[in-house]
Amino acid sequence: MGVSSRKRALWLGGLMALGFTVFSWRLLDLQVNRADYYKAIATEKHCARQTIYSRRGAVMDVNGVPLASNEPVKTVVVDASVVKRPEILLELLSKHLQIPLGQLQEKLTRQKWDATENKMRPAPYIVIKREVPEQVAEALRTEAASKNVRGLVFEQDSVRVYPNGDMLCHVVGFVNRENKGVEGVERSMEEWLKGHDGFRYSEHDRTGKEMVAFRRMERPARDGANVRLTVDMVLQDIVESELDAAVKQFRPKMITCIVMRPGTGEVLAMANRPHYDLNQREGVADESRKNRAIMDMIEPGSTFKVVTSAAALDCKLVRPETSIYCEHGRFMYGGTTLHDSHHGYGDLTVNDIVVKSSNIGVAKLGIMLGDQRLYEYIKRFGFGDRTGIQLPGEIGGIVHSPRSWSKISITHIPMGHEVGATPMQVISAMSTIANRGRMMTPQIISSISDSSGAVLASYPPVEVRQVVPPEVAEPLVSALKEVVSKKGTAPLAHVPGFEVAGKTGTAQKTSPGGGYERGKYLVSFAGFLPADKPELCALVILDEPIPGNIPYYGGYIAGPIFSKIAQRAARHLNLVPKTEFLKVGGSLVENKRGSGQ
Amino acid sequence: MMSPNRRKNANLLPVAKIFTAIVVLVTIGGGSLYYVDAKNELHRCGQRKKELERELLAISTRDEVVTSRIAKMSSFDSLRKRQIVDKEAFARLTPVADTLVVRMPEPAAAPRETQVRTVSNLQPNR
Repeated sequence: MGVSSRKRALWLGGLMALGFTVFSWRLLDLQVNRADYYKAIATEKHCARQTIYSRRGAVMDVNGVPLASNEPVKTVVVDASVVKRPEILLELLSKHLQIPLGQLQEKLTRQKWDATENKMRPAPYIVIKREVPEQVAEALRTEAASKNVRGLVFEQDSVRVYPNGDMLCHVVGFVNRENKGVEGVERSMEEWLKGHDGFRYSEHDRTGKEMVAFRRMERPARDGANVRLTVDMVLQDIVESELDAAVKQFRPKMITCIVMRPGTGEVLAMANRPHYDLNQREGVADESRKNRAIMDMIEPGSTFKVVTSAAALDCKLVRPETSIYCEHGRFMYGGTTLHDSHHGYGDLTVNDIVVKSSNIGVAKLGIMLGDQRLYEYIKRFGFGDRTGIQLPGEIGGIVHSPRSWSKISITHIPMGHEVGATPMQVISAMSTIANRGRMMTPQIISSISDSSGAVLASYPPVEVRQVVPPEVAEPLVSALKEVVSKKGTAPLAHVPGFEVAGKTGTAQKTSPGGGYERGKYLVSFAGFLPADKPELCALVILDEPIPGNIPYYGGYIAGPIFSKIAQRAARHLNLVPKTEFLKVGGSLVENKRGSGQ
Repeated sequence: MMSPNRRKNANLLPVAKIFTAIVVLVTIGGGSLYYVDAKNELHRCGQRKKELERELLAISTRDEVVTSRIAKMSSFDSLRKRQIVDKEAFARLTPVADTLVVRMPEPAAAPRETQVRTVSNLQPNR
């Protein structure tokens, strides 16, 4: 081999080595250095992320009656880029979806700028209608298939439905378009109800069809948990029907009723008027959406006298039989005159002060207690603080500290004036007395379970505190029993077969400009039965009822409503009636009620 | 002229090698065909899986629709509305009048097995 051929061979070898080096470097660059970049491009082209939607959990009553559930619906979408016979498609859509042809035509002629072809093209994604029922979508799909119409896409969706419409509306609440709880349990239990969407990465062929065999990472959707309430829909139905009857009879501005189990604090029923249909919420006034049981602040009136009496008894300032002079109905204090609303009384025992609902008697008990002690007991009964019920928007009410009390506050607060309380706080205080001084947290959620029924969380009764000892609560219960007798202010609250204990309330409404409004009252009755072993405690409040020829007192307006509710509720709860309590004071209460007293 | 030894060598067929090559080729070919077939089967299974998933979704959707309809029709609200519209047909549910309720005293608890009981010596009239 000559020198020149050897050189040529070296050159050739060198060039080949260089070429291979360049290719190797390029290979390394593609496979190692820029691997992630190209992998991402390839993945984007062939691999898609599919969302697996979760279902929102259901809300049900204590017996499993559904209160909020999901209904599958379809969103009808048109891909205008593949539509071949638009006139048939238009006709089909108009016929099945009840949309005017003109409106549809306007939608279908929408165009979108295509950057790759540099021109306008028919839009590939036009939403025609949302929340189309399954049957309608199925009929449309079948007819479109038979007529060989292309371009129709049906996307799976779901809507929240409330089978009971307006019943328990303030408690259940509703969701917005994004399926997020806005009010009621739907909002307070959002974290449990909402569920978590899953996802799946899978490869697609060049036509865009999923290649199931090449599915990659997958995380299944986790459905929302089911929330079980403490509410019993049979009791709720009883309450709602009686409130409807009361609205017809008294035409009040609002009514609120809460039924509670005193031993556990479970809310068995809760209803307000005005109310609204959860399935037709458009145009509903804010006032109708308000859950007045926990959001309305009222002056509790005479029902509050149990708090003052319990405080005076617990401080051992008086005994039930201690006599208090009630000034024959006119008591001058701090430059103002305090009146007794029913009659003027001379000497009354503490027991009778509660039975007769004497303002002067209870004001004197307040004076005996003094500012600080009275304030402490009010707070111990839970006024001025949220009760902690699992509903959103609860307010704490207003209880001013003694520093800001006026000279006459000590005579007004004991009878339930100058105190802002929610109906929930009032029934909670009455339940505390019924429960012999033991205060329980009001509960509306019973348990949380998954779709298989396994309990994820339960809410056992929670004791807040022993407000007063049973020895103090017991004589108070005796006094409250007498309230529902011929001697007391609420004989019409009697429930045949049961011994009822309770307290009436008739509070003049406060004026926004200060003072009280003449002729505008808030009447209430809070009671429980059987008095010796309470199974249910109920509160009925009516705002500005029009009583007709019935006296304007809680015992005459709210008392009979309580009686009707309690009578039907006792039957449902299987409470055993006792023959000795069939009558009150020797005459049947039914006769009195019939006469319109 | 070719030597006899060389001719002998040139005419010999390398049967073993050819056989090995054929076996290798058949194995590779067969394996490839099996691979393609398996791949196709995988696709078919994938399609079947997709169809089944679709069917399952359709069934569960139908189930949800029916459950929702049952809940609506059997709801308290619906029953109340039906009661108002058609008082006669709605199971004729009327509240039981108090006069029709027989109230019985609570039954006395039966004594326990081990409890000593008094024996009645009363004889029936003869």
